[in-house]
Amino acid sequence: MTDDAHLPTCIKLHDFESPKMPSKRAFEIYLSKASMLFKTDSEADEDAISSDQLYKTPESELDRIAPPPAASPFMQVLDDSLSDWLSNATPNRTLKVIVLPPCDESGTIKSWAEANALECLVPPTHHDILTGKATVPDIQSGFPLVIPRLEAWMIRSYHGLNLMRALLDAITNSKRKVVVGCNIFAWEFLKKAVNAAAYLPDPLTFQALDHDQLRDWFYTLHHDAETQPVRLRYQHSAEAVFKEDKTAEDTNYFKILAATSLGIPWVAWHLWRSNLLTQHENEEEEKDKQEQVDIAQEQRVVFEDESEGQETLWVAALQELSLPKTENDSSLFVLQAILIHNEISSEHLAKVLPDSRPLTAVPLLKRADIITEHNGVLRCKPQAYPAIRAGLAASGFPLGVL
Amino acid sequence: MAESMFETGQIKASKLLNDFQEISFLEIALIIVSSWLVVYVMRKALPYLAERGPSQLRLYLLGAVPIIRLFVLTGAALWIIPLIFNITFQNFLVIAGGASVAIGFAFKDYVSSIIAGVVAIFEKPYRPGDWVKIDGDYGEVRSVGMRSLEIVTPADDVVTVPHDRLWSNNISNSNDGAKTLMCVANFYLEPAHDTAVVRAVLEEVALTSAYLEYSKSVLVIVTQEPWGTHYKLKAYPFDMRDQFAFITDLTGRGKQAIRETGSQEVMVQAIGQGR
Repeated sequence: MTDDAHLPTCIKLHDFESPKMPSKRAFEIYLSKASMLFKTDSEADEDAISSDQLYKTPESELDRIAPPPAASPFMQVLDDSLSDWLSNATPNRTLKVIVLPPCDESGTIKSWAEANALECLVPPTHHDILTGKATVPDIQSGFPLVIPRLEAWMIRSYHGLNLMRALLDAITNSKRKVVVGCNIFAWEFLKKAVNAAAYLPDPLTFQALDHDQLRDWFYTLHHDAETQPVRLRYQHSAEAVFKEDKTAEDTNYFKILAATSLGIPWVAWHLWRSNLLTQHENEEEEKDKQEQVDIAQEQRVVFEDESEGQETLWVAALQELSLPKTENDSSLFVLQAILIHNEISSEHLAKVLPDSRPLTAVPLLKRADIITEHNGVLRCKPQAYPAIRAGLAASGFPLGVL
Repeated sequence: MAESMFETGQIKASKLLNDFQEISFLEIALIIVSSWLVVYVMRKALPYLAERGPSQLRLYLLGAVPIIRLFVLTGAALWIIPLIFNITFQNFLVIAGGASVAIGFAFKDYVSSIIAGVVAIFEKPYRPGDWVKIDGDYGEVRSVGMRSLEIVTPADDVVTVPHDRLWSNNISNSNDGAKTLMCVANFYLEPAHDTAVVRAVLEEVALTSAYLEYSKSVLVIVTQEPWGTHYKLKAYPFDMRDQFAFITDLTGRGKQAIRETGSQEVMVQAIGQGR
């Protein structure tokens, strides 16, 4: 972020608004969906450089151009929003509730707590919750306490709800300052199941990042790259992504990125990184590349960063991810269960689903890059969240605003 | 001169049909074919889109089929009639009289069903996609035709019900155009148990179901019967097409939860019901 004016703001949960998709792109998406419905082929637009010549940029290189954490804009705002409250010895309220979008791999609230040397309450294991062995520790008094993920204290089961009620009681009766984080799927479920909104009033969230804020964030990350500078060009036009004169930039990409990512930083960050492609280097291709540049120059495309020795990365157009088709939408039950718990093992997933049939969708979802499994724990990929949300919404699953 | 013109007018007015040379059969054929085509395309395309599009639009798309058909057929009839008939008040009475006799003797039930079908479009006792019970047949309304509607039962039987049942039968509509409906799971327990505990666990069984619609309430109704205690767990799935899966989920997990509380289900009633 270049300046504080471009930081997202902390707002009440019910005031949240997602960025809107540019009308032209929205129309193109509807058109492409309609054509898919009737199984006709749609023609791809001509790109300045063909996709065959490009490959996925290695992670190490991406970490230089767009380094983690994926939630840095929110961490800064969290700091700004809560620092006064934390330093106030007699605040009006001792409880702050932050509801965030799901798929936050970087653990925004936990990272913020650690950065501020605040105590985080360690959740019990899912196994202990399911067997009724988990208990709530004494949190009556002491220094400010952070519960980074409320969803980690719950599993969609009878024992899970009992533990959650005990935790909510403990939070309400605590004399400490408590910061509670929760993802929107767990929040909506807990509002219904244990009336969480009565225990944890006035939840806050962050306003979605708009295209300007995303552009500034990625520009800053790109310019902060310490070693060899990299120039970024759009694959479709070969035009520079960032220019000296910001007003001359093509803003459409960031508008689409803001709308596609729903303004969620970690979703946008993953999409941005997955769109940065590197060109295969060989003589023939170098020649092709030069031709592409010549063509672009003929078309009066402005190049401002033609200095020698600069590597070029190509920014591909955002592709809409789609969920694999499964019988009776069984994959959606899996995805909803994962999102409610943030992460869950296959073994425990079976216990929160109505029957074992949806589990057959797990390998399919992994192959489609929708979910990932690490040490036996399933998580939804942040870049797949827009597609997951759209799929759940289309099938009528209960959703929150984020 | 005036007398002759009056006579010609009288002759013309008394003619029921237009002259054959004046009737454009091609135009009539085109109107019929176009109307049929529009109705056919709508009947195929809208249910196709309804099953593949967002679930929020499903009932609207399905419900549009009979309305579009009514408008298309009415329009076609109003277009064709003046092409064939010489419409005057006198001729109208003749046609109406003839039609009344024909309907009264031969097509009474048929026309009654058609009229009931038109009434059903406006009164909406059932719409495509609704779950209804008519004369003991429960199922999803698959289509609403001109004369009858088709219901698909949970056993996958297709039941054709004439619209004229509307005049004399009670029609029970479980969702009435909404995307969800109340599901009930029944549990029959021995009387010696803690009602508060069983009520609480049954409520949590519903609250932890993957099918649950959050915006609707969960209820547990308890009634005392001569043979024991009857629990009705009432909740709504987010998609009414999941109603049987939802009831199965509630029943299965409910039975397990009841066992965990140490309560016993009654057995005698099940045997009694089987007789």
